[in-house]
Amino acid sequence: MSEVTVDVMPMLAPYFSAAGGEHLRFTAPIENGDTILDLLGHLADEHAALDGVLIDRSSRELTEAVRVVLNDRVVELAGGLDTVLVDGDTILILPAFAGGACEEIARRMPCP
Amino acid sequence: MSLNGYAGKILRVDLTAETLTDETLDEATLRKWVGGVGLGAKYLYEEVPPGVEWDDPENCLIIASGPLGGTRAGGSGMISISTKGPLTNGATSTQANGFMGAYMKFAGYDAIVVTGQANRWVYLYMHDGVAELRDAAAVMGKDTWETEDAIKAELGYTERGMSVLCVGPAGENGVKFAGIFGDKDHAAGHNGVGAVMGAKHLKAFCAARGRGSSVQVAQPQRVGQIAKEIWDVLQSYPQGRHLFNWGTGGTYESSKSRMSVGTLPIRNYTTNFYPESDLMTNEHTRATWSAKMNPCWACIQHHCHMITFTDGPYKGQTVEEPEYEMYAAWGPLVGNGDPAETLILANLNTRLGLESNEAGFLLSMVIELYEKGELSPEDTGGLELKWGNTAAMRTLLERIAMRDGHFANVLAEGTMRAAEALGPSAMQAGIYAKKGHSPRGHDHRAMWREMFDTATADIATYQSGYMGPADPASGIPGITDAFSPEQVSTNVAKATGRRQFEDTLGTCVFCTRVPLQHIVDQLNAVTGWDFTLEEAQQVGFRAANVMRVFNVLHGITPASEQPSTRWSTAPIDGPAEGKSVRPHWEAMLDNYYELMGRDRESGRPLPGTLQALGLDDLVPAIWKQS
Repeated sequence: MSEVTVDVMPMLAPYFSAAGGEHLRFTAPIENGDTILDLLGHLADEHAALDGVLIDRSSRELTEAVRVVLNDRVVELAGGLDTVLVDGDTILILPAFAGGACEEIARRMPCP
Repeated sequence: MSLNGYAGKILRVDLTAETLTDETLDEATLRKWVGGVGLGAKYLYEEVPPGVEWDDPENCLIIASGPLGGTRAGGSGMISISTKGPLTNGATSTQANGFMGAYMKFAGYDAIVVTGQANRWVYLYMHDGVAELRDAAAVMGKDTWETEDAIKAELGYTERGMSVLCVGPAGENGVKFAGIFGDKDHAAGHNGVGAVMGAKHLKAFCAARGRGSSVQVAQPQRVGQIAKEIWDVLQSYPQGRHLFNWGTGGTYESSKSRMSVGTLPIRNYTTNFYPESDLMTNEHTRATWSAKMNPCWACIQHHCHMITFTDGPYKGQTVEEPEYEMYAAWGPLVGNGDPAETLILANLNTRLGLESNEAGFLLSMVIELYEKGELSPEDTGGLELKWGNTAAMRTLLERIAMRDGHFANVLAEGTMRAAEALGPSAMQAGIYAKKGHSPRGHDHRAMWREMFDTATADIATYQSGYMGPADPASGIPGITDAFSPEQVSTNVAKATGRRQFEDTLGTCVFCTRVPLQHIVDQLNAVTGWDFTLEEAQQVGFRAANVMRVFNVLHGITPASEQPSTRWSTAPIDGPAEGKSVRPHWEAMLDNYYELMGRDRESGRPLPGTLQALGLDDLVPAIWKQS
């Protein structure tokens, strides 16, 4: 079975049913041909609080609440959400966060 | 009887004649412009005609609070300062938090309009419904902190009994990126407003707290209730709580987030790797030294702190906790990995009265040139300008503020003009908007929205960023792809007006990162008005367009709405390696101009755009030749 590493920054930990402030790092199984969007969809299925936080299922886009990095490359420049994952990839999920506190930020971030 | 939310008077200061007069504004005028940047735009357009330069006595310096200033609304000590500034030779609106926006209203004034040039250096003292000009000889040459303390001592006020805003040596000496600083921890910095104040020989303006809040509001209980609702919203999303807890300087997490997406500015954009990023955070600073809260008037964010060093060479010294941009300027941007040196440089920057973003990009440019052998010690006045050589940086900042020596005098003109003077290599390395100013302290090559906003703005800094949670009612479309030319340019256009409306109110932007309806409700509770969301956004869009008309009349064209070469290159490493906004720029401008209702060739707002904002009288001023 293929696996990817998922790295979640502490601010988002409560949405993954984890204690606030915890830096999460776990492996997730992927099927052959799974894309980043598929992975994020699976995560949202597993954690109810993530619904609407990671992806907009109707538009198939990231929400403005998060940024995603694939193997140290921002996902928009790494082929986008339809990029097919391969064994050993690392996905970093960040709160949309840049510059002074929260510049380009979470406009759709609900409370966990 | 004054209107709810207003002190009821505008103070006119003619420094040439040293006369002070009061005037009043009717309700219709106030409802059209509200306050802050609204009043700034109105006076700037009406009273500074084309041909008046930034340092002419005829230039106006407009200092304005707003209807929420001095009330229980969160962060209601903010002022907006508007003028024609030296970096762009155009309009600016720049905000300072602290106490002045509240205290000047307690002293009796909603706004101050300063014109002329005094024959001696003076400062303005407002208290108990009156104002006076006093001789500033005793505080000349003092830095911003010393000036504040000296004026309070001279007039017999305690630390919080008076708010003092002033210029430091940089403003006295006409440094084109001098700011106006006050309440120890706050600045209105952009477009050389401190140089304008210095050109008028106005060293400081100060207001006494008096007996405290005297602002009459329509629904006092409702104002308090809405302030609580806003606080609840600010606490309801992770980034809001993060700001509350850690300020803009943030945590290891926010530092890693910036690094991970490539927005931290490092060594003048020559790399995107910076191992010391965790050290340049409030999380590290507060864990290492002693931190004491330093909130502004009616603050509901209280992220500001003062830091006292408890060890090392600066043990016992107290400085302000840097905001994010200060960390960026004096850490990664100049290749410094020592956080104590960052705090010391930030404090020196404040004391000298320099705007930190311009100062950071300026020094990072000349350090890069020195490291490459393009500048020698003979060029730099003997300074070894190497990455991380903070002692040389401190000396250079002091020389710039004093315009001491040829090299410092060139740099005192700001990044763009210094690059032009230093030659082609500097022109390649300099990071600036071609209107004449450096951007805020980010690597915008991975943050196109703010780069585009900054380059197209009319106030010498970005002007349309909204930083709060979801607000679909405001009609601002989101950005789901940070590198989408269409999404970015559309968002910048559609967001224009909201931030300007916030800046009419007299409140801190960190306290208004909530859906706009809350802010409108608060304005109505204070004034008794019945503003709608649409009317609120129209107030802001009106101010933005008046600033644009002012700039058009003063010679600024779309040709200058461009990023410098380095600012828009593709990063050579890091998470956004190889991607440049440059190929998309003209198409982004096309989209932006159409959505803004402006003429693509000249930059002028179309007649219909102005008429829809009730600005019919401005149409002939810019369309008379058509």
